[in-house]
Amino acid sequence: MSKLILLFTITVGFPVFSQSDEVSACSYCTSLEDALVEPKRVKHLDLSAKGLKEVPKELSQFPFLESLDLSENFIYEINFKSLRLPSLEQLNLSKNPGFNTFSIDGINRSLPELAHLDLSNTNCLTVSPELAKCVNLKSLNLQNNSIQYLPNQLESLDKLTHLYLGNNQLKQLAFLEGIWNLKVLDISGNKDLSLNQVGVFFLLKDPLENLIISCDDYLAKGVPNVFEALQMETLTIKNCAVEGLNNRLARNKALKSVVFDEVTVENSKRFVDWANRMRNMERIVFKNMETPTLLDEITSVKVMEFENCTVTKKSELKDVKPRIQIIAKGTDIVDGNYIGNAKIADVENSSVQAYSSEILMSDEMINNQLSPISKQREEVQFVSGDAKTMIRTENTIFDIPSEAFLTQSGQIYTGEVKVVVKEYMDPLENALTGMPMVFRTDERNEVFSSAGMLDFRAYDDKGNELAPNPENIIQVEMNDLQPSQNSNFYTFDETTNNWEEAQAPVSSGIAERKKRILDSLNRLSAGQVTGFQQVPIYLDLAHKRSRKDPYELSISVYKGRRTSVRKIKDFTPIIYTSNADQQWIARGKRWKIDTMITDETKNLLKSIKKDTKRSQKRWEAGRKMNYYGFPRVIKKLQLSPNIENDNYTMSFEYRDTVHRIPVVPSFQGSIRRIQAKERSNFKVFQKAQKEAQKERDLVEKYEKTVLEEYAKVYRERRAQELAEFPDQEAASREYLRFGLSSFGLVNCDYFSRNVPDKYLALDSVGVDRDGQTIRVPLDVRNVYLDDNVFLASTSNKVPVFEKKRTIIFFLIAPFEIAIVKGWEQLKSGLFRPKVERVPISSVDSPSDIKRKILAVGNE
Amino acid sequence: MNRLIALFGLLMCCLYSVAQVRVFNGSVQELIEAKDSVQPIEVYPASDDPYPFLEEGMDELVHIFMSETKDIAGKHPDELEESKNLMLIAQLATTAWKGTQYANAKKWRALTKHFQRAFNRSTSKFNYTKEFSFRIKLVNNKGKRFYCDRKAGISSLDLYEGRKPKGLTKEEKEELPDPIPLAYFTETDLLKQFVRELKRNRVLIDLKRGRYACVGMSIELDERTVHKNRIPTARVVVILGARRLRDLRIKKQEVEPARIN
Repeated sequence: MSKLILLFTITVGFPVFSQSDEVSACSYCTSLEDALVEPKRVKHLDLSAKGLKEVPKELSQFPFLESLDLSENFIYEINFKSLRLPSLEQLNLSKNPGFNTFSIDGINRSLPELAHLDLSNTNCLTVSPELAKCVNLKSLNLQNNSIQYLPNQLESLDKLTHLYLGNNQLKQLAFLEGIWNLKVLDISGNKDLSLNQVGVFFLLKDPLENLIISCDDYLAKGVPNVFEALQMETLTIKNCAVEGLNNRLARNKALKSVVFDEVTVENSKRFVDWANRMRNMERIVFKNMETPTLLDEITSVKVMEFENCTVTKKSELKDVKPRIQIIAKGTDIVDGNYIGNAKIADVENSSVQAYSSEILMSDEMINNQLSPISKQREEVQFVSGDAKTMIRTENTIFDIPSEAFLTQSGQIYTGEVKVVVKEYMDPLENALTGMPMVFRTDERNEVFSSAGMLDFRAYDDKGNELAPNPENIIQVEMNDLQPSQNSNFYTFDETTNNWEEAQAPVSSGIAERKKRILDSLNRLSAGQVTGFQQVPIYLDLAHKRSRKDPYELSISVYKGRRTSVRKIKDFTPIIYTSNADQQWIARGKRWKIDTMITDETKNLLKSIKKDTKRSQKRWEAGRKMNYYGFPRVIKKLQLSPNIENDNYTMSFEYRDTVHRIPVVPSFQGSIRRIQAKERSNFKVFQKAQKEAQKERDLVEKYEKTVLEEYAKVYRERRAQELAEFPDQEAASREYLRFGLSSFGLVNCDYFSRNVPDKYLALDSVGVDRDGQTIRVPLDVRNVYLDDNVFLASTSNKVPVFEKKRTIIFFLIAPFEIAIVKGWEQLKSGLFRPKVERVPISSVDSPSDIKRKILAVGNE
Repeated sequence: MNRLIALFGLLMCCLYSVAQVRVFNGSVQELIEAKDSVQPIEVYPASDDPYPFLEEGMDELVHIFMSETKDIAGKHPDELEESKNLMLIAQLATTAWKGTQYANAKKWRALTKHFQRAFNRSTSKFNYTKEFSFRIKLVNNKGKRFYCDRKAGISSLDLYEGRKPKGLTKEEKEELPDPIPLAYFTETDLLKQFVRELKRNRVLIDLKRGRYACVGMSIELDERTVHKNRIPTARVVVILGARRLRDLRIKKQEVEPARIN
């Protein structure tokens, strides 16, 4: 009985104790190190923009991983055979330039539950038919590639509902015939694709909800008849210029919503006429564009939505019919006042109303004079002033050129420099340290939503502060906490206690880097650019273990192309060549080693034999048909006559090492017979060489013509992308890159201009877990974790964002904090907050306190 | 009992043979050079004078044979040369293997693999070797009977024509004329024997057509045949080296290594 009780105690107690470790482990991880703390707990792993060249081997340790983001890396291929992620549903491989989409063999076995696959922006030319084996695939994104055709095997993807094929070079969509559950289809930006030709496929797709197309003549002059009958709810027109659209669309009764994305309206009057004829259309959406004028004349729709648009005539919106609901996201629709992400519903009296954009906060917050609860830990390093060095902190890399520091008198300082860096990368830590977060202007007080903040100071050996040398500016690369937003740069003026807008110095290396990328791109051959591969037939080397003649070797050819390549059809990413110049070696000939067999040679041959057997066994167990892809244990097997030594030199690559063995053909008989045989053998060798040369010429010609065309397109695109890439690298998503033109506090932010949903007043007394009452002070700090922002406000008017994660905390004793987590607690407590006590000590750093705060409630 | 003796004898033969191989391999390992060197064969014309091998040894005979071999192959551009390593191997072979191996072709063939492996230890300009061995008679008995008489003291070879007189009295012995000693073979005669052996071993035609590039030779007097009732013989080991790729003419671009596998 006692044993049973003990067992029960362990079973029940274990999860309770184990939860205490959950602080350090993460389920949504952005680094591999964090994820490996407790791999079984990890569900989402974001390894984007880490500069990866290959997939980390540790990935197989995450059995419950559901989503994996490998975007914006340099991954060329993934060996799915060695990867096993049984729960993975979402895989993002976008922006891996040159990713080999043919290297996905075994994806179905490796990722059996894969439902969402993103291969956009990889410059791929097609995808492997292997993809069709991913039977659970629901969403496939192949946008912004160079795809001309897709394999028909994809029609077996029965569960595919979302297919994005925008900005490719598709000519036909034959494989769509077999996909029946498609809900969203994007075929915009495919110039060679005629809507008239592909329209019939859509007709058959009953579940199609959203079709994304770009304009062509048919859409303007007369859409195909099938568009009248299509049962789709939304039609998205993307990336083109229109005057007005065809009236035939008005006959489509199912069409409820039309979205215009990056569209230029050339004739507003015709456009409005068309919109008013669309009687069934309930919603018109403008995205990423300049809106047409005469919007007030549109009467047919119920909802008018603007998303990241520039409204040409804002005054018109006042005259929009009152029953029309206007929704503006990221769009300034009001004259004079900025309203970001504002939802304006129930427009009254034909005018647009906006909430006040001011957020109430405490005076200390406004004056940037909040008292710190804890001090941020500083990192001290010593560098030489006259040498180029690099400093790496947790989130930032400082590339310090030589002679980067000036003394107070303006002279270059070359001695030892003490560098002190403080990083402010977390809203909770910012709130604890009382970081200045308000940017005061004459009209209003803006709160920063920090994308990253740092305090960089340098001192000479006597402790005097140093200034930056404008000629040799320190380049900074900092993790971007708000990558979806463009950041501005501000420096903190300690005399006025206010931030000053600073022009972020452009990183000096950008132009050079761009040039280097372009140069390297142009230097690559067409084959390298397009990922073209030549696979020769497989030659196998066997060592005959015989006591009589241990010198004997035999070489055999495996199944594969024996006849030389005579013609290459159109574009082919892989060519299986006949390997003509070497397969003569194996034509019924045995070879003898023409040197002493050392232990080394013996071991080498034994090891080759073992590896060959092993790999063949594995291969044959997996797939029995295709011998082209036979595993090659030895590579680059060459055999050429060595006249000087009167034998042949056999060289091959095995385990990345080139081995050379002198050999002779194992002919028997007199010298007359042997010499005659050698002559005829040599003729075969010469013939094979000629054949191989022909094959090489053919491939070379193919590379110069067909592949070069593909490569040209690729290079042009890449050059264009590079040219369009903003010079200010601060806009770069993964890192903020800037030059440090002044020392001290530097902030990389945009303004948090979200209007609070409402304000709450906290009771002056709260209740802790034990039911004891706690006095709530007037000053409280609210941390909004999603926006990386914090506000210090009075407790009787706390701004509330209902859909955002929040933590409110206040000091109840010199070494004790009380926290309120989430709005739910406030609601349930009827403004009398339920608080949790967090004891702190004077030596606690902000990150220590943060850990304690986050641990509360998880216990 | 007889069987046991036979078995024991066979075992001893085997052990002896293995020991010989070990001696040969051991010597080769120590003496052979990694890079073979060749030198032109000296011209050494054979005369009609008898070849007194007991006084002159076998070195001169080697030179004569080598010179003759060169003469046979000399018409061709691929001239025959003397290979140092081949000479060494031939020499080691004559010293290592004694007894019946030279007479038995089958046994000799079994030995060739040891030559080949010995030869693999060095690099040279040829890769095919033809080894053969034979015995040559050094004394001419003209096909007649002869006998050995160590007491006569007329001939240094102690070999004389005819039958050995037996059962004679002292007087009769004194009356007897001096026995006629057997004469040495002349150099030309020895050469004829050598050429006949070349022909017999089927190398003469190939040699004439210049198919062989190098030669090594060793001659050793069989001490067991001297001063006995036997014709003195010498064991000869000849090793010829040929270039397998003699007829290959490679242009530069054809030698380029082939591409990927």
